[in-house]
Amino acid sequence: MKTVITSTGNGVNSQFDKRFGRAAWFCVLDEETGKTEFYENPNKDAQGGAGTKTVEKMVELGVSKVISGDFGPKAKDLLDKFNIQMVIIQDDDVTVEDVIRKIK
Amino acid sequence: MKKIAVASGKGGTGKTTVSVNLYHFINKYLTQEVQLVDCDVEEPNDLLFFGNAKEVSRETINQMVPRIDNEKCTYCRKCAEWCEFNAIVVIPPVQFAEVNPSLCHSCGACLVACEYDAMKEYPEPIGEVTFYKTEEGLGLAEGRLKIGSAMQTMLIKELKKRVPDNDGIVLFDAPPGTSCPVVETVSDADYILLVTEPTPFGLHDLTLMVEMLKEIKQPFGVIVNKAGLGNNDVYDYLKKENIEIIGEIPFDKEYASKYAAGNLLQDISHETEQRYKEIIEKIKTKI
Amino acid sequence: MPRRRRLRRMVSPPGFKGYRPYGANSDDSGYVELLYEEYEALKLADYNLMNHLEASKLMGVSRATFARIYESARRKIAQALVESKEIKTVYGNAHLDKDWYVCNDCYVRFTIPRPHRHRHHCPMCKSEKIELVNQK
Repeated sequence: MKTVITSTGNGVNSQFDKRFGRAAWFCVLDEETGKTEFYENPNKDAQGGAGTKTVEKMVELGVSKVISGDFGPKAKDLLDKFNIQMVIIQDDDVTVEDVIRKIK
Repeated sequence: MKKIAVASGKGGTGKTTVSVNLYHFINKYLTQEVQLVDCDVEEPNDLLFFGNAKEVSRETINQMVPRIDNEKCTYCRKCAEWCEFNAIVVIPPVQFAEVNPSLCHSCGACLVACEYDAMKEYPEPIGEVTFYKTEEGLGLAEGRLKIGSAMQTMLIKELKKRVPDNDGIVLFDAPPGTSCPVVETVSDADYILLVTEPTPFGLHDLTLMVEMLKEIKQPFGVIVNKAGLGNNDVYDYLKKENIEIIGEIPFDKEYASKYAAGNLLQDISHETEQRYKEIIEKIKTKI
Repeated sequence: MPRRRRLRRMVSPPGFKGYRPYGANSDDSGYVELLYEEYEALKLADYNLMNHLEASKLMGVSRATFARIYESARRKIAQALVESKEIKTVYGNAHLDKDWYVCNDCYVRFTIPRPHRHRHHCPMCKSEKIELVNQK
């Protein structure tokens, strides 16, 4: 099962990014193997539609769960439509690794 | 037909006050062929000052938004790639394709991009254009954006298109700011009046406005409203930049209360009338 | 940019839309807006008789923030009583999305996609102590 964690950088030591559509990076975690891959977000500075574009990417990657700080209304609707689980963490000071550790 | 736009950069400097007064005094001193057009489509308020205005016509303005025919769509993503506004979501693995009307700017690129005839346009209302008859002058035209729509510029364009030609003057009351809706309002004006106030905020936004107008090479002059407030920085700036002051309207608390009560055009003081008379004399030489 | 306001958790929203004083000419004395989170704070402290620390944990805010919300709730109600004002309840910053769940162990909020509605555990810590944020 693939899980995406929004990240401010390209490594597990990076800070968790509380934005979804405008997150800097996406960490794709394979929950079975524990392997991570990082993708840079091409839409982080988009004028509009960053959230829906990001959902597009999530579906293409075959993600079933997204962990972020919040989701915009358009992204929420689309993620819901494609049965992707949304998880909101409101902790300020956590790294991607902290989040991964919590899941296990 | 001569077009005069009233703009400001900063909100609350007195665009509406100046526009409504100019409409009144141009009718009195210059020509009765004067039309007022409220281009602040996000919150038009010129109408508030014409208690006896009567609605003459009302028209819904639509934008054409494409819809994807899922029978014909091959999910090639070309439309989504062409879309500058991220308004199209196409997800091939799940055969999903959709246009988000709230992000669409009706540029038509996707219609050209689609090779499979899967894009069809349909009308989506963005607002209304209403014409009102007023006791004096040719009347007031106003655009009113539908709540939730982001198509200010398009609505202003449609509003301006509908203003009938006359032999006198059209006054465009511009929205605040310096972005697309303002550029649309002032771009074809014969002369632009920038209303400012002698405060740091007034000056800051005035400079942005001046830069914008220099960029699009439009002629302009400045009206200093609420004169007597704030400081001299605005005057220093205007002198340095060699920008003409078309008029000054002194700050007057009583006048402000009248505005707030919607009685802008009732018992105007002699002083105020004189100021506007002088402004009109100057405008005459500009157009 | 100011810091984002944390959403306050609500166990259950108030079962009324407002209160109106009777026997008083209240038409023009106005109203106070009691936020859902203020109602929640008042209920936890003065109805469920929790101490502030317990209540703040339940609402997912710090003790100091809880105290502020609670204080604001009491002042508004006192003002309404003294000045014969109506009390209206409004959303405020409470989280009431329909299909959102909250984990009582690690406090994350989450959705459960339709095909997995039977899975009743937290996606982070696997705790089964989860509840629907808005049960109404």
